[in-house]
Amino acid sequence: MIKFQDLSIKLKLITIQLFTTLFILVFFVGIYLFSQYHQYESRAFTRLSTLAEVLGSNSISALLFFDNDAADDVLESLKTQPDILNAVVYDHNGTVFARYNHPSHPRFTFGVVDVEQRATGDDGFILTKRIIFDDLKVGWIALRLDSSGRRVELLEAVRQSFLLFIAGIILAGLLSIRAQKPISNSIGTLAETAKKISDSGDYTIRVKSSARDEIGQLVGSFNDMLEKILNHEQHLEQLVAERTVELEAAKTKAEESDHLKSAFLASMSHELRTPLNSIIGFTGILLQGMAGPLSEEQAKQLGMVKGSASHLLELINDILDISKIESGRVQVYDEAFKIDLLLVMAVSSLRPFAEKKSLRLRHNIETDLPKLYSDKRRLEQVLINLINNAIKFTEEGEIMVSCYLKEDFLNIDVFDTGIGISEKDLETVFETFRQIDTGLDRVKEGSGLGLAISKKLVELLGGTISVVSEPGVGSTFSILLPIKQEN
Amino acid sequence: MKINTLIIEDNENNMYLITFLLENNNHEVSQAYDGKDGVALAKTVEPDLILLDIQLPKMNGYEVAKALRKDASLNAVPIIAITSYAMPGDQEKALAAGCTGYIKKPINPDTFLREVEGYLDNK
Repeated sequence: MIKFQDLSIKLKLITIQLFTTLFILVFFVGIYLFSQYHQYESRAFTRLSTLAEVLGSNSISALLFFDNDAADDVLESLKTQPDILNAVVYDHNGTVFARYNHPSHPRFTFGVVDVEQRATGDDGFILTKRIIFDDLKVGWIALRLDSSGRRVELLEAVRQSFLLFIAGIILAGLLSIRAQKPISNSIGTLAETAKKISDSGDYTIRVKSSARDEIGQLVGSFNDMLEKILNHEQHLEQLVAERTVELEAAKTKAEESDHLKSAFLASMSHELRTPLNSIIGFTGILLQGMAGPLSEEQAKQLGMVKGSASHLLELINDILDISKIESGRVQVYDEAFKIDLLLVMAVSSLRPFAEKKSLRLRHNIETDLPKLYSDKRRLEQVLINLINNAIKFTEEGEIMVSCYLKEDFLNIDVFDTGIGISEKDLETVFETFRQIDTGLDRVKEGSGLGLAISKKLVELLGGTISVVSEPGVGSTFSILLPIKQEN
Repeated sequence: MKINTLIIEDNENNMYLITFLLENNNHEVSQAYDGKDGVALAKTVEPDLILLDIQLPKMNGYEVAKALRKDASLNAVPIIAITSYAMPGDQEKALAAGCTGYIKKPINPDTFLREVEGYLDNK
């Protein structure tokens, strides 16, 4: 069922007006019909009363002289009144003296006559009246009037009222349709425009209204709000445009500085390396004795120069590496290669350093490993870093590099029996510029960047690196690499 | 018989270092200090081996390698790029430009000769 509140304003107004009219019409028609009903009855009794008066007084002489025929004649005059159905004249004892019946209505018994009365019933209107002569009660007269006319008259009144009622409703409907227009039209226009603005987002549209009523005020406020929104929007657009310009400028600046940084890195790397090239090269030549024999002391000191130069080179390389990784400048060149070969070569190249410290450096590589599709050079860099670390921090025992498949991953472990890492340091061991306190007197040479670089490189290769360690027992660094397929 | 080697390198110390190492080991060295000179000299001396720095004035190492490979008499000569560690992709670019192999800077006198001779053996 449609609820009133869901109707449009137009229908609401029409409905209100129709119902108001309907209510008023029902009310007044009801009053009219009610009064018609009662007027009919009072008119009937007025007529009966007059007739009884006339017939009564005309019957007095007949009653006084006991002349029944004269009384009958008097009653016979009722023939001119076709709706008088029955009439009876009684003597003062209440005995029937004369009687008149309408031809279509046979005898009717009025009952005991001893009091003046008016009665309305199914039988019709009945009036009983005394006949008085000089204060002497000489008899009674009783009359019965047909009441069926009353219903006919009432029905006729209802019929007319109904026609008027219908006419009234139609008229009210037409008037209300006409009358609601100024209100519903202006509200409708406002609603339509608001929807159009909301749908299109065009805040330049305005609602036109010349009315000075509340709707006019509403339209005025609506237009004002639109104006404000428009201004606000324009202001926002301007702000956005300004910010965009600023951002673009900042972006350009950032890109410029990024470019400068990159150029600086490249040039620094070259500039720092060029003199180092000479230092390392010539100390090497001198140490080899190619430029003539050296004394023992000279050879020892030159060895120190060469060691320091190599260390400096390592530091520069590490710093350049971490800068490149952190600025996202490291690219991964994936290729298919045999991981076992790479591991064996890495282990072999570092074995002299292990042997110098009397450490065993071994490898345990699973057979039939699939070819790995990854960046060979980056992986090699990480492996060398891990094995180097293991050699650096192990004083006795062994270093073991193992490699095996673990589901869809390749697992590489670098195990050592070195000094280990305390629980506190394990959390930060892969962070930039962290070198853990070894607890040894001699500070280990290094930039503290090796593990940070390794972690970032492994992540670039799509893998993970982790460590388990126990101080005084040893450490195991594990790399987990996904087995990728070459596309 | 001595090996006829051309070194194209702009840094004097490096040039001296490489020359010293090679001359002490049965090489006869020709020197060029920029890319253009290097290409010109290669055409006249027709060396057995070329050591080529990448960061060079006038013509960089890649351009030199490409130019040398275009020359019919030089396209079989081993060219060893002396590449900088710092720039990623240098080695790949050097190989793409026509170099036979590369040796990373800084030069390590302990291994340098072995590496150089490795490329000669492969020839």
